[in-house]
Amino acid sequence: MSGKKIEVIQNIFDENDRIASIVNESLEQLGILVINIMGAPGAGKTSSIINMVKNLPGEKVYVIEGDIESDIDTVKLKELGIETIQINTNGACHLDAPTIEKSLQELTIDQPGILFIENIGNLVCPAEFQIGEHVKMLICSAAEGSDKPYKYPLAFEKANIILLTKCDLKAYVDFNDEFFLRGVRALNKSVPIFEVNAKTGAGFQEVSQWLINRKN
Amino acid sequence: MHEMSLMSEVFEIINQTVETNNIRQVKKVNLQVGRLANVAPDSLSFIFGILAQGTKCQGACLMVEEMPVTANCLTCDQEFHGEGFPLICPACGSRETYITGGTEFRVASLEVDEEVKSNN
Ligand SMILES: Nc1nc2c(ncn2[C@@H]2O[C@H](COP(=O)(O)OP(=O)(O)O)[C@@H](O)[C@H]2O)c(=O)[nH]1
Ligand SMILES: [Mg+2]
Ligand SMILES: [Zn+2]
Repeated sequence: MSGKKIEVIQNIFDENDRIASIVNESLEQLGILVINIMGAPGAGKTSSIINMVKNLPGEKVYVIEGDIESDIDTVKLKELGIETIQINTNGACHLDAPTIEKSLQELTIDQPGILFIENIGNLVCPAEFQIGEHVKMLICSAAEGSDKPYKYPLAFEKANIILLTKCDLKAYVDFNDEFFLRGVRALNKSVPIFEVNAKTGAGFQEVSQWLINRKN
Repeated sequence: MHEMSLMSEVFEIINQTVETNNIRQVKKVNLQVGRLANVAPDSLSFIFGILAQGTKCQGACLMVEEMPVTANCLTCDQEFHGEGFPLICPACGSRETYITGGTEFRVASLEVDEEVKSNN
């Protein structure tokens, strides 16, 4: 009896990616543009969703809220009349495709439109898991500092659109525009960056217009 | 910290392999983990030890091969090894590149003892 080597070569992400492409294609057929919203806790993900929706009067909007615990954001969105379902990951640091596929059974999709999926607040793990999205939106707040592209390169590399939120706070946190921009551009030459302020709604009209153009 | 859920996926793959082969004991599991996969090898080994208990992997050794970052240049089409961010093409200096390797995480192979066929 001797030892034997068995070649396997199987990717751990294969199963996730397989389900992600099923989600991606089936929603595309229904005319749904899926946005995976990623960013640190408190970066302004929920506030951005609210402001984007305000600027999408002609679109049907659906939201899936991912949080480790609680349904605070879902309650907030529902109060505004936005169709929202909640996922609690009970500790998991990211959403994955099987979780989204399962939660979609709770969502009645009766019209084409835009589905926002708010990922778990975390700049590292969500960037690695496809969840069926057509667009990866990175939410980065001025309050986090201008060095984030240098410290979390993968999230910036993979983003299809970046929202720099809390621009009203720039002056208070010594935000260095030039340093931030240089960091982003080194990783992602052409990603559009929108500067926004959820307090006043400034900048969100342009973001929503970008989404509409991307969808059509 | 999603090493736990990833390791469960590793065990799915191992179990499938064990089922379809004539394996008595797994001695070694070879993983390939990209430098950008954001997976900590130490916690992988720790979790592997726990999940292996009572299975054909109990006592097996987990080997993690770190895979380099590779990229392709959009300007001159050069393929190169990346040494951290930002990725810069060594041939033409362009920063317009895309990652081609270094985010992978896979089970490469298993080293096993096969079931002994007894004839008596
Ligand atoms: N000053 C300022 N505060 C903001 C802005 N956007 C969000 N906030 C605040 O930041 C906190 C976290 O926002 P939230 O949208 O819940 O972040 P999330 O955890 O990423 O969903 C809340 O107290 C918001 O009121 C902004 O543009 N300016
Ligand atoms: Mg939120
Ligand atoms: Zn080049």
